[in-house]
Amino acid sequence: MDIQLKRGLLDICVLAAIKNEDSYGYQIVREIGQFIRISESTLYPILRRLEAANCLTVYSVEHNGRLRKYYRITAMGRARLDAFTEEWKEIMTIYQYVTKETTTHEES
Amino acid sequence: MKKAEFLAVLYEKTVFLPQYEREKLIEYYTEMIDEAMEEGYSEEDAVARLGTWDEIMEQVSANRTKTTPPAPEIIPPTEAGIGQKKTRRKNNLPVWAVLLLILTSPIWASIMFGILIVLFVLVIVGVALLITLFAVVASLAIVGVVSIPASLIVLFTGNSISFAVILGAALVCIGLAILCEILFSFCAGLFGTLIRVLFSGFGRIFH
Repeated sequence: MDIQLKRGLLDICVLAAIKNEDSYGYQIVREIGQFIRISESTLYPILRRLEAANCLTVYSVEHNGRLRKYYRITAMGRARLDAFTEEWKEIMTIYQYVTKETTTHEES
Repeated sequence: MKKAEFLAVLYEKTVFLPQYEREKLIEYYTEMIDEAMEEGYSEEDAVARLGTWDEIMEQVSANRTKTTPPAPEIIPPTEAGIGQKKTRRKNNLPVWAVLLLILTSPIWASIMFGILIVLFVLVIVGVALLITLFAVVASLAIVGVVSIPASLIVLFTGNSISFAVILGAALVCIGLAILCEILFSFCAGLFGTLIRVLFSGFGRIFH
């Protein structure tokens, strides 16, 4: 996959992982790892980037005698997710057009 | 590699980062190793699954140029905070300037009013001049046109000298009317552009 595209998708996946409820780093990796290749190391710059862009906020919760950082989506993060879904609606129509074109071509 | 050793090396390898970023990074990797160990990984495995040093360092400096580190914001990154920033930028006149503008309004408002009146008078004068010119041209044309049949009547009465004089005068009148008409349209064009320039200038002042 294109690096730039993957970078953008990772941002979106992380936001989607905390969309419904706050989550922590390890859990985020486990969840979105099912769909896209990600490691704890790659997650770090994404979280920092999203935090800097005010897409999420961070708070600490005590867990087993240590601190666990939780990430919460902001209104701006939600707006980013909405923008993504809108944009991909367009891309999906293009995808359908492209794939349709090839099948009719093969048939004839 | 043990957790403590890994974190020490990581700390050493990130001297190029600001202290604030460095501490965050250590906190993050500490948490990740702890989580993996809680999941049942051995300490060595928990460290090993983080990847090679090359991979880790690549990610550490991934958006180094983009995130300016210590942004301890006074305004919480909520919607309200962002909204405030935007609205504040809109009104860039300081309070004293606004006050001064209001206090001196009797002066500048009356000056503005005066200028407006002068412009209005100028427009009226211009229109009056145009009407006068038009009247002159029209009268010349009418006199010229009417004088030609009049001269013919004079000719039939037998006064050929009077006929010549009246016909000559009529032709001169028609010629003058045509000349004035040309001048008139020229002046009207000039006046029109003048008005347009004046009004667009005013529009720019008030917008």
